[in-house]
Amino acid sequence: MKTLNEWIDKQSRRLFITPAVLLILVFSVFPLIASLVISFTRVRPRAGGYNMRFVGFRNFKKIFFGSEQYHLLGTFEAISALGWCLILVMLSALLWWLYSYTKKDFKLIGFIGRVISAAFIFSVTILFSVTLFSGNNFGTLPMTIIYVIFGCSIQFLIGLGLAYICSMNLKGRTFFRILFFMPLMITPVGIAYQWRMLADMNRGPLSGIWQSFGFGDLAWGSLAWPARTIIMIADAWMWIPFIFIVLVAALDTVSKDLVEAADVDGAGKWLIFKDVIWPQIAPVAGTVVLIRWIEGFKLVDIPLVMTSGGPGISTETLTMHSWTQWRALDFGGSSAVAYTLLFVTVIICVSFFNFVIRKYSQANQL
Amino acid sequence: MQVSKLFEPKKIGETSLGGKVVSYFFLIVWAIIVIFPIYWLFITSFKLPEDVKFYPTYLPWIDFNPSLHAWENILFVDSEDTYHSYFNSIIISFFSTILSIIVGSLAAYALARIKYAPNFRTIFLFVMIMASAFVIVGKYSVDWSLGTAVGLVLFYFLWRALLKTNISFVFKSITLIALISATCFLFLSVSINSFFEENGQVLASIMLFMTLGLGVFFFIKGTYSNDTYLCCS
Repeated sequence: MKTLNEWIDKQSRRLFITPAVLLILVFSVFPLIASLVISFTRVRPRAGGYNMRFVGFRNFKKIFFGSEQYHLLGTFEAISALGWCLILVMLSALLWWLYSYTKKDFKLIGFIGRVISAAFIFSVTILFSVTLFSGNNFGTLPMTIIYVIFGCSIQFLIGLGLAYICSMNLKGRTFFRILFFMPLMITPVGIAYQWRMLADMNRGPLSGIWQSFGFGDLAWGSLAWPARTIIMIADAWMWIPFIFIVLVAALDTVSKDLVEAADVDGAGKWLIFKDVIWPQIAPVAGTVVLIRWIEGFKLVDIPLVMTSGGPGISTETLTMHSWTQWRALDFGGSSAVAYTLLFVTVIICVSFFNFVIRKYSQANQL
Repeated sequence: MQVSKLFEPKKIGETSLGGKVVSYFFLIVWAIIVIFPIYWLFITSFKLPEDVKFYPTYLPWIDFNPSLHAWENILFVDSEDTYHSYFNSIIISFFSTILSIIVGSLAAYALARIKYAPNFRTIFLFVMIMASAFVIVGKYSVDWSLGTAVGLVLFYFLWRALLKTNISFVFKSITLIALISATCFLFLSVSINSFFEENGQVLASIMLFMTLGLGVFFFIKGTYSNDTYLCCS
């Protein structure tokens, strides 16, 4: 018995970490590599197994330039004047950003990182100019970016406003805090069905309001933008509580002395918020936006239940695109879409972390 | 009373009357937005199909007569389906929580107390072996569990032979023999694939997990640094 204990004692440093490393290797590292390999192959199921054929970049070529281009990126036709304006404005802004970085303390790695981010932002701008701002249909990649950037911004603004009100010295604020936290406890599929019921224009609870505006015969599921809006509303209803609860916790830690000092000095509510409260909660706010973005890129349950991607492909997200490709037994294409998603997520989130959150945290430390 | 006075608090740290009115207005509006969908979900569960079908009905006993048929349906008529899925949910959440607590707390404790130095050459070797196993499985239709197991055994011996300097002659010869026999074994298994289809599945799975565990165990053994000690008695 003693020798066994001694042996365990000796091996403890390995015994402690082996399960975690094993789980990560089997369920995280291996699938990552396997899906990368699959994205370069054509997988064909056959009786008792599957055939794999190495096809190089042809899966990526198909979704970016080939027959599936309309699905991932959208339909490209002529670029409108608005599109050209946007491209030129964005190009000059990005070039100015890079130029001003070379003026400050220049580091090669920082410059390369900024070039990558700028190139990515520029290509996304071109994508939006040729699809959305030229009146063409767009695919799942622009749709996901709209969900993430636009949807999460609105969620953040509403969540911040509610958190600010709930951090004030009001009676019953604990009750409101608990109440506002409730939607986060409902399962996403339940929320999706609930919003399908609520958004019904003929038999839903708001049908009276819709009909008085003359929208009684409108079927939101058959039009692109109404469907997108309602999915964004459902997503916001579900995720505002999360932003709210994190920001309330951040606002509670804001030091009262500074706020009172600013109040005595005669600063208004907006100036106090802008110059005293916001710099203290900015790192937390940036982090919560980052978490929401990463979550937002994975959005699949709400559009799947509410519209199943319809009408057409107009509410499909990248995750859902990958899933439909997988359902169609196109495993290679599915992995290629998934890796596109990974690529986009990593570039956007790393850029945001480096250029926004880190800047605020450093400013706070100084 | 002037309008601007409404938004001036009487004391520092207090909220003015106008501010209170505006704040409570927004709080109550959002409370309605949060509660109403949940209320609607709740009362719809007591509605009969004809109360849902034609126009919205809002209040029980006034707009419609609540009925328990939906609850009866999921609790007694189709009870097996309901309990089955609830049981699945409970099992999954319970065991995944237990598993993640055990694994996570062990790893967190170890990472906080012991220094680990990850060896990138080892990780690279692991990735290469994994990729070659994938090619063997995909291209030459070797059974996947067999390919993985052989790959991991190869990884272990190659790692010992290539990246460790102070190994004995005996171990080197074992590595050579293992390499040669593994290669032969792979080619053999390609030719007698049908045999393994009959018998090899269970054996190969056991082998896979054993070698995976052992490989990781010794992989970490080689990579920790010696300067800290875990205090255990």
